[in-house]
Amino acid sequence: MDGSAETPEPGVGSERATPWGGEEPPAVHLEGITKRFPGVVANDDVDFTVDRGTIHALVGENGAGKTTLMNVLYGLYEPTEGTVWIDGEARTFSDPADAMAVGIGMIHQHFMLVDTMSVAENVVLGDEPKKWGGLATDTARAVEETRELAERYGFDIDPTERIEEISVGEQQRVEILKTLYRGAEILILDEPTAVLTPQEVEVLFEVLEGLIAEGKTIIFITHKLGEALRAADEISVLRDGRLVGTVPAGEATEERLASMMVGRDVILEIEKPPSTRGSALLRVDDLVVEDDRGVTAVDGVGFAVHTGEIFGIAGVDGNGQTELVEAITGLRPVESGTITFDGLEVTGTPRRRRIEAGMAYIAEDRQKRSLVMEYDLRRNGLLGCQRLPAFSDGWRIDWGRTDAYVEDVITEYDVRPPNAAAIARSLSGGNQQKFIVGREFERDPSLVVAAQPTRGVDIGSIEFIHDRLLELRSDGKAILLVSSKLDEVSQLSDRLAVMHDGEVVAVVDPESVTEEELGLLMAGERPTGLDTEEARTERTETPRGGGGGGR
Amino acid sequence: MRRRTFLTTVGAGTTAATAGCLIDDDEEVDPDDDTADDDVTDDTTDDADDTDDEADDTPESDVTVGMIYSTGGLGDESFNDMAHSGIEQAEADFGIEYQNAEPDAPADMNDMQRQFAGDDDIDVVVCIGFDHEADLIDNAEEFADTQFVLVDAVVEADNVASYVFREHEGSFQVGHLAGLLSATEYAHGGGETDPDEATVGFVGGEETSLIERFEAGYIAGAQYADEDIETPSAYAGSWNDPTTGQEIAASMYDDGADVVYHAAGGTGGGVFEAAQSAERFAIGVDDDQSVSAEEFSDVIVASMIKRVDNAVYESVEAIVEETFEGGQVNDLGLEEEGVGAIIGQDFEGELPEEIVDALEESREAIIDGEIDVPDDLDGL
Amino acid sequence: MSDWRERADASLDWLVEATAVQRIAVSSMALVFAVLVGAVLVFVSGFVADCPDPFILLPGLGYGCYNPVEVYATMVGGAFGSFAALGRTLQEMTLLLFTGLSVAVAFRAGLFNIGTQGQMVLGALAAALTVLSLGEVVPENALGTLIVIPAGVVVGAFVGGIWGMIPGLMKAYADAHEVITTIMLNFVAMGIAFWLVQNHVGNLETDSVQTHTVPEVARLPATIDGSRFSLYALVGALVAAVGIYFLYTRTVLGYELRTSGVQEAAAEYGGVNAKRNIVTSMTLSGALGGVAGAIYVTMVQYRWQDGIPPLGFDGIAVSILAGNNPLGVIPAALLFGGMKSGSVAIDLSLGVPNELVEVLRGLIILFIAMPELFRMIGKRAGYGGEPVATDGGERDGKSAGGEVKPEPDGDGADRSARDGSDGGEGR
Repeated sequence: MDGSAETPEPGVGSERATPWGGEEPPAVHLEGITKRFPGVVANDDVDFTVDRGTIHALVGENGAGKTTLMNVLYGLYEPTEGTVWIDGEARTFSDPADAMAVGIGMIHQHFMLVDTMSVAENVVLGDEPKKWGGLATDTARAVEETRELAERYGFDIDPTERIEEISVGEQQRVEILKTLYRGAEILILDEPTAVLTPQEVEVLFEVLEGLIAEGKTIIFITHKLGEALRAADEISVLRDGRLVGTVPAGEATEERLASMMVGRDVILEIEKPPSTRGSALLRVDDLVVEDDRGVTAVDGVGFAVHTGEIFGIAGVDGNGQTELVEAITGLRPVESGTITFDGLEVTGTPRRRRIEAGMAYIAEDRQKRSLVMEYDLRRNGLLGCQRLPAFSDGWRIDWGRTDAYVEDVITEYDVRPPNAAAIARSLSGGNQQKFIVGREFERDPSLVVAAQPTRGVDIGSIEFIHDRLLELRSDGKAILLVSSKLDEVSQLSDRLAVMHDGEVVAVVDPESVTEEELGLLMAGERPTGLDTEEARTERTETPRGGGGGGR
Repeated sequence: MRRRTFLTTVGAGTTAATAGCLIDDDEEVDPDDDTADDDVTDDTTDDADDTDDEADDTPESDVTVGMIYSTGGLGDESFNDMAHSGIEQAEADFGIEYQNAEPDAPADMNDMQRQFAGDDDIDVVVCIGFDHEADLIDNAEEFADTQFVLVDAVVEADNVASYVFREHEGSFQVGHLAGLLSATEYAHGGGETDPDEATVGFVGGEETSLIERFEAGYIAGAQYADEDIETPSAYAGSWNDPTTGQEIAASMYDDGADVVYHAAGGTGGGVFEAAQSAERFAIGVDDDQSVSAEEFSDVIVASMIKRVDNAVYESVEAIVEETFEGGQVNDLGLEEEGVGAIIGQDFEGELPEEIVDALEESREAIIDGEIDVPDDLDGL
Repeated sequence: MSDWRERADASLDWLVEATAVQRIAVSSMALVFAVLVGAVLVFVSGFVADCPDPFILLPGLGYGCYNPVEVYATMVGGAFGSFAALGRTLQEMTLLLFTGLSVAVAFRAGLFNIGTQGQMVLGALAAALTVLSLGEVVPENALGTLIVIPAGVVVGAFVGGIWGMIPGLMKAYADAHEVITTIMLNFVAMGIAFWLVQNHVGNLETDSVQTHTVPEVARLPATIDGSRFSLYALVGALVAAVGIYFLYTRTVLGYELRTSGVQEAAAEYGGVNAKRNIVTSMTLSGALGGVAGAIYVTMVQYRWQDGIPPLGFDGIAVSILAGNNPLGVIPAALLFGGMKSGSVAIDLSLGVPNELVEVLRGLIILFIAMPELFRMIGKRAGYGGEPVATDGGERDGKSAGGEVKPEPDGDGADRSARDGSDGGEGR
């Protein structure tokens, strides 16, 4: 970041065996890459290899560290530890220009094109062919060179058209041409399909094939498993900053990738104390919710959460969980269906009423929702509680009691630094989350909605938060736990709903379901003979019973 | 300096300068002036010549004048600068001293009036602009020993001399000129008329009753020349928006206007620009703008001149000569030569004889009361 | 280059973390520098100006017209040199307190109300018409004043509040940026007021666009001879400043208003109707602008007259100078008020051109505001304390301070740039 470009030192690893473990150096080899941000490990000892002339897909949940890893490769970040090897040489990049110089180009999700300029002008922008002794851009040559480039790689594009007149897919191809024009051998594409229509996705994949044929190497980031399987030669899965594994596309299936992504590492062995399940406290019936774009995200979901139980919702990110949770907590309007809380219908009531009725909420995006980043902990301790009788009379804030409450949370939940005047922004992710959990739990709620409560949180804090959730359960509270970490949600939950495409595929007993079955459920398929809640209900209702229930 | 001549004297065939020379170097003073001076204030007649003589000896007078301008401030190339040139001339001729105060807003005027009035060194406070009126009513009463001069509005008090102008009379004259030109096939300088169209335009600054007087007189003058003439008029809404001034005037010229008259302060610069682009004519205001805005002198056929400088000069002169009479209202029109049409410097002697004659006739008719010039837009 | 950057980073960190005492020290030093730079400027421009009695002759340079010491002495004397001068300073200060608070209230809630001027103009007109009509029916004594003036202030606040509420509604429910809408509404407000006074409600006998002068009973009694300053108005303004300070530090409403502006999503999470609060903040801000207008009419001009001074725009500078702290607005308004009356004194007694006096004022504001401005920039860009921790890779590049980048990107820079132009232009 200080701009002092270190010259790459070739042949650092030449004394020992090649770090990539073979004779022929691969195009990219990342060795032991760790990238830490204050309080967060975004990449943890990642080894990652991409052979020349292949397409490599990098998949993982939001926040798994995909983009950080690629930013390290692209020179935007310097790794805290580890080495970047390009074509067998160790490289250190201070900025993207260094990376570009050894043939690494990145195509960002948001294009960086000048709308009013032509395709050719955009392609050569910043590196224009000159005429009149460097005084003017040689537009004719720019067009010619762009045309040659496009023809060579089989791109169907007119270099003279203006950017604002061409489609998004074509714009993406212009971005690719830009990097090729600058001599890129290794192309990184960040979520290239996110902005494309299905037809354009097909065209993109053809373009990528064409590039491979010319000997280029491609890495693309995605969280759509089908696309990874369709286009890539190899697929690497990242989870929580660590590389779970790399598999050849031919040997991978969507279920396997899904379970790799959400994981079932037995890193934590959770002791679940017995608990008595009581009456249904939260009831959701036939709920339909739209996302921000107005597309139905939750499609007819129904379930009930009882006191004394943890009801888990599992699923790959983006299958409606976020919208479901926001609808329950009062942050998102409901299209149809009902939400009943503590015997009263709350479908349309404002969020404040739900807080007052005893609904606690650990939001998925704590930096956006659960904390005001510029406030100190004292003011954050009041967030959501400001109108509760314990904190104010509705007009004046009782800062004395608020301070005592915040001190209590800080001590009880081991928030560090233990300083109520600390700005939320300055805390590590784990401590931020412990503070939120403390604030929400200590005011004695009857229902806790916990969405991704341990995302981006260190191991110690994860255990702490799990213990607290189980304590609440023992105390007879109702808990709705949404997590894309499969191990977490299946170990903590008493019952587990799996969501896919806005629907609950099944409600299962997490103790009697296999990883493979969960993988299938998350991919939207129902394995036969599954021990689901409905199956059980049917069994009790129909006297046939018996026949092949368990496994 | 200003050898510009009033239309009247051109029409009369004489070349002598008239009221304008009051603030000029003494060599330019013509004996003829005395009559003109009489019309303005009765007491100054002979003193003009006396003080002119003294000017060469750098006379010393112990009078100190406090000048408070209007919010347009110095450098406006018209109203305030004219007042300033009046006081400068008085300084040169009588050796008086003066202090300037430029209010940022009308709200500052009260304080400035009071501070000058309360200052023992200051003998007379000259307030330029009608925005002073309301505050001066109170302050003149409170500071009964201080003498005040108010330009452009009237305060009836024994220690206030008020100067107002019948702008509609001067505007009638330029309106008459514009109407006559529009009906004539005429080309000179940077412009020419379109004889097929009988249209003359007016561009105002802010739509106040003062500016409506300009508009009313102008339209009446144009209609006096030609009953069926079209007289589009528009207000820019600002004294400092030449861009809007240009847009308005350009569209008037597009619609066939031969001449556009502005009473819009700095906005008028845009009117002149539009005249040059359209190769038509424009009429300036307050000052002889063919001189003060010389780059447009090829299209400024005339200006409606308003002698704020004279008002200031004469009031100071009265103080110096100890002939100041408070309570009097000096209502200056064509007859007193407080207002009038002045031919642009490039057009002097270049206008058709019959137009010049017709203008002189209408001037006399106004003075004699044969023409009743309206001072508002009712009935036009 | 990297060295320069590191030093800039370190300075920003220091500024963001500076204590109140350090900040006051920095501002005082800035004032000294501003005076020094201004003095040099005045002295030098004295050599290009013409004047009858120059104060100094430098061989080779010629005559210098302006004596910087005299200029600053006149400025200070004109601001605080006599009771009348003090009165004029406090009078200006009172008005700037209200407009500064109007801007600060919005700023605190994360909103940029550039529309205080328009809110003040309409509030002033409404107040003038109210006291003019009430003034005819009430007894001409202190009791009458006690009825008329509060009524004028309430009506002014109401109309100003409505004018502030409009951009608030447009921001909350139509996503129209308040900077744009408030600027536009300034023009609309001035146009409406001008048209009403010119054609309907004004004094139609005079050429000036103004209402009738309000009767004695509708004027705030002057506290100091030689000025129209009224202690009652100043006390009212100080109470407002303290009240707003308490609003934001002690009350649920203030907490919710501020949270809604600072982080809308978090406010919603906290059960706050963030949209409604945006409207409330803007309404409150507009009401304070309206009060400024009412005080202007009843204390300063005694009528509504076209050409209301740009107190609303000066309020933006006052608020920024005060770091948007309602209590900080008090000294900031005093400084601005003093400079206003001081520069009028220069205009009246010295031959220094108005424009040069404006430059001196501008220099002082610029120098004092600069550290605060950089502080705000630094704060938004995440300087000071620990850099921001982000949880995952996905948002690393996007969050403003994910890793301390030398050049603040995105939102931080945009906002700071806007702060800058607001403060710098002043009017």
